[in-house]
Amino acid sequence: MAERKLLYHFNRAPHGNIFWTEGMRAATGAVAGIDEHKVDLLFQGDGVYNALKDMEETESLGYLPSLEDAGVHYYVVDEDIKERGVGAGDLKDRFEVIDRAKAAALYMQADMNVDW
Amino acid sequence: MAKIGFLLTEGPWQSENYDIFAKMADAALDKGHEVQAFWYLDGVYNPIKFQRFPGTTEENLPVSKMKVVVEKGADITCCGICVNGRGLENGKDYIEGVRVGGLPDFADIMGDSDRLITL
Repeated sequence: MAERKLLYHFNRAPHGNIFWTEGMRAATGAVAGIDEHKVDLLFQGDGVYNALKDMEETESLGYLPSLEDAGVHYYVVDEDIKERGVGAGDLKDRFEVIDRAKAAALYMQADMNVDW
Repeated sequence: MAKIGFLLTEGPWQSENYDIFAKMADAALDKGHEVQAFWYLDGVYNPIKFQRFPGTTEENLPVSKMKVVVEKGADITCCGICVNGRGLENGKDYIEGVRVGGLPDFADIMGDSDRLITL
């Protein structure tokens, strides 16, 4: 076993599927395990809608404290929010806006990329 | 030889990801690689042994393809919360060799595998 640097990709919109909540649950499991993997979250494509201030997230709120304690970063892709008419000011405070080049660098830096 | 991890989140009959998993796992095992898989969300429907579908032969059922790779040595664990959330009663109707576990098992797979493929 080994500690891994993991990048969890959220690619889907928050409604019509359960991948947002289950991906957050899986991220919590990854940082809490024996290996204590390092996990960061990347929101891209329609996944950027998960970052909206008014996006209802009752079912995943319970995972936030554990992820914060583990130092998890939330990244959202600038080009993807602009393509969808979303402004950086529309996002929850915990999300950091990065460009696609930075997102690509995160892919490369991760030991494993996991799609949700 | 490599250790290859898989995450499968799709069930049978709607997505073909189970088939992609079976083909990739089968090829990897034939080449001597190790396969470790975690089945999450609707992925836990794949190993139910009572699957039937009109016009589908026994060997082409999703569960039959799972059975082939399990018998070749694939280590498959299903998420227990997902299993019981779908009324599958701790996997009592699963084929032999498929285990019911939890997210710590997926964390272990990520820590132990050389590569991870998500389907």
